[in-house]
Amino acid sequence: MKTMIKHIPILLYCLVLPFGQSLAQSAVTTTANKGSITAITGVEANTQEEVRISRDRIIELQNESKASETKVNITDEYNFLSFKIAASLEQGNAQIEIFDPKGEKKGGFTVSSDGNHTGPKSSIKERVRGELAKSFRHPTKGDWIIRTKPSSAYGVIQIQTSQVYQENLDFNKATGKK
Amino acid sequence: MSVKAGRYPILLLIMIALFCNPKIEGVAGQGIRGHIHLDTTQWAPVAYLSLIPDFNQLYSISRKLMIQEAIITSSGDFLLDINSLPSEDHLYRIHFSKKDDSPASLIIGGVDENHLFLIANNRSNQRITIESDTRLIGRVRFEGYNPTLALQEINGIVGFLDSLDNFCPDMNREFVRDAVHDRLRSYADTCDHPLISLYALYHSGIDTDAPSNRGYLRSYFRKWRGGESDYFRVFRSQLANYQKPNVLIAVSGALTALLLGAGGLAYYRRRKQSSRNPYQSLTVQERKVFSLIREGRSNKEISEICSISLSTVKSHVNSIYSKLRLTSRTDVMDYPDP
Repeated sequence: MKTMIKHIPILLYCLVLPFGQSLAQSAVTTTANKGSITAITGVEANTQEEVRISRDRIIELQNESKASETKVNITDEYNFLSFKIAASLEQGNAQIEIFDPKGEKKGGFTVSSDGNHTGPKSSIKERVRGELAKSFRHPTKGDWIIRTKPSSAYGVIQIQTSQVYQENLDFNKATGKK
Repeated sequence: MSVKAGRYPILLLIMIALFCNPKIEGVAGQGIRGHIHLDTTQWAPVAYLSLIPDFNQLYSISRKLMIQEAIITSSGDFLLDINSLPSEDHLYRIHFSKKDDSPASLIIGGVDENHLFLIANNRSNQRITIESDTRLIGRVRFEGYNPTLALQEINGIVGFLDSLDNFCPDMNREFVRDAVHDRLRSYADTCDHPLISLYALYHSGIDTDAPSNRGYLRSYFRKWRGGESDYFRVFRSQLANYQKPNVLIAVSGALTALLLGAGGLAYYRRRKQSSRNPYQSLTVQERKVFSLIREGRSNKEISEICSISLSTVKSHVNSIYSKLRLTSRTDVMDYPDP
């Protein structure tokens, strides 16, 4: 059963990939535009010993004040979960928080910039940037939520999530370290 | 002349002492002295100091919070001036930024985590030695200011709590977390440094456990009343709802007390009634019937004497039997004189 479940992402992947592309190059990218939000999703399936699904979501903020949520559903099939969230603002502020399925806050940060987006092109010195890396071995099952609350914000928020199944969980390997 | 000649050995000794003392090499002066080995191909040689005005902004980054910057010398030393800091203890954050990144950048978690926290005021000279391993900020040694040392102890515990997510099964995780939270609350209760105490409480999960810790919160904030800083004011306002007695519990308590009181009164009345002479419970007419029975009168005679129907007499007789727990006219005759 577990082997079957492990193969679901591979099967899905094969359905959407053009023939002739190898699994090693597996990266399906879909782009959807919804107002000021651009979402990019990547699915990656590897070997029988490891299944990894990675998703990238890029939220472009153009005077954005609407909160949004990104859900990551964790089932029994995954024994590792990691988040890497980065926010870079030129104006306004944004709060980013991670909640586990029990509603417990597992991390977060706030970026706030007094820069003037409408003025002369902002330099690197005017930008404000926050980054959060968090990983969880044997994560609680259910919906993990990344909540972003921008306020009159100009900038970009990038959310990378990675859910992994490894038969013999290797922390460094799961986090992508060599 | 002899006095002038005597100065040279002293000056020589001072120069030797300055040269040999490793603590004075690099950046001299009072303040927050730091030492870090930065990979300058990746990191800008600057240390930034931010004042954290309340605990909600521990992980906030903005230019408004950044109050000072210091150049890191080629030997890895830097000096942050404390003269411009407030006279009371405040929470500060030192961070470093990547060369290609904005100076206002905060990295939380991972090998590139770029910040550390400390407590300082305008007199708190202290020294921070940061050892880099695979991480930019590996082992950190603080010297010279006890509140910062206490802060690091709490941060160590908080770091342990974070690591539970990776190295502990789900059930044990909750058990250990609850135990550590209790310990932090106990530490907050006994610590006599207000900022450290509040920092421990903030990290004890009290915000989520507040509904079941109303009593603790009330006595905690009562203890620090008067000497409160902005840290207290912000934290207190967030937990304002939990520092008052729970209205629902108070109302249900009052209702329970009322019901218990009413029940108690009814019981008391019943007891009082039962302890009374049962004869007292007979009505005037029943007493008259009772005395006529004792005189040996029949129901018919009683009916004629009292000018009531026979059935009414029977009803009175039954009522008398019931109230006095009797079963026959003989019992009535044997009943002690009222």
